[in-house]
Amino acid sequence: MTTNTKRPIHLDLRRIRFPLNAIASIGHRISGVLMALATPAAIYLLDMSLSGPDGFGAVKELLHSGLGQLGLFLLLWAMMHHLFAGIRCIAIDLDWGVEKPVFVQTALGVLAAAPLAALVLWGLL
Amino acid sequence: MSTRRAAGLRAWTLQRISAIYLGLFFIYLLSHFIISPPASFDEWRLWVADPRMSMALLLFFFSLLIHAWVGVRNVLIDYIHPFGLRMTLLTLLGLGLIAFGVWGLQVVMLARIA
Repeated sequence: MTTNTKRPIHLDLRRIRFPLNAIASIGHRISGVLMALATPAAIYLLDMSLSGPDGFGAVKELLHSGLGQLGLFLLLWAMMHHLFAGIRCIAIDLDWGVEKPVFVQTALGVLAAAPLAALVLWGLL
Repeated sequence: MSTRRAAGLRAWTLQRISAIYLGLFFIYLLSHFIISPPASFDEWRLWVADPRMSMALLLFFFSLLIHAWVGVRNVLIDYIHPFGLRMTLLTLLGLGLIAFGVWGLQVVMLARIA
């Protein structure tokens, strides 16, 4: 297999145009990195909640505080965006939604559905 | 293992397999916390200590480590070009993820013997 090394490759974020599908795609990355960064905090909370009744109560209180609720909403948004964008990605792997306009419509769907789903879950939790 | 032809295929496959488990388990977790959130510490601990749940949680952590490794590695390789910095960050990522995995394993196992 030969690679054309002359093709223009640039990942300079200031030079790349950002149509809807690109926003959904960069959102997939940002949400993933965010969740990776939140992992130690999540394990810490799990650890504390299982340390005893006091720790359990403290985690519950923290999650119901203003800061905890904000963090929870942002993480739910990241999670929902990542999940929907991931499903879209697998659909594209399976050759579904590769062409315009479906390609752009599904990107818009991901961008719009993620905060809505996060809001609903946030209300239910 | 990798010929140039198949380079990246393993990461690609692992990313999708781990994604499917993570997605399904996350939906299960959310449903559980919405339908019957743990009311007391004992209820919460017993839920985690249930052998099926412990196993599912450990699988979840394992999938998360693989998924985060492939994903964050891709992001680092795309945006961090100086070789030394890239290698340093990749090493820190790998060590950090292993540490989180051990920590998670410990938390679940301790809940089982408590």
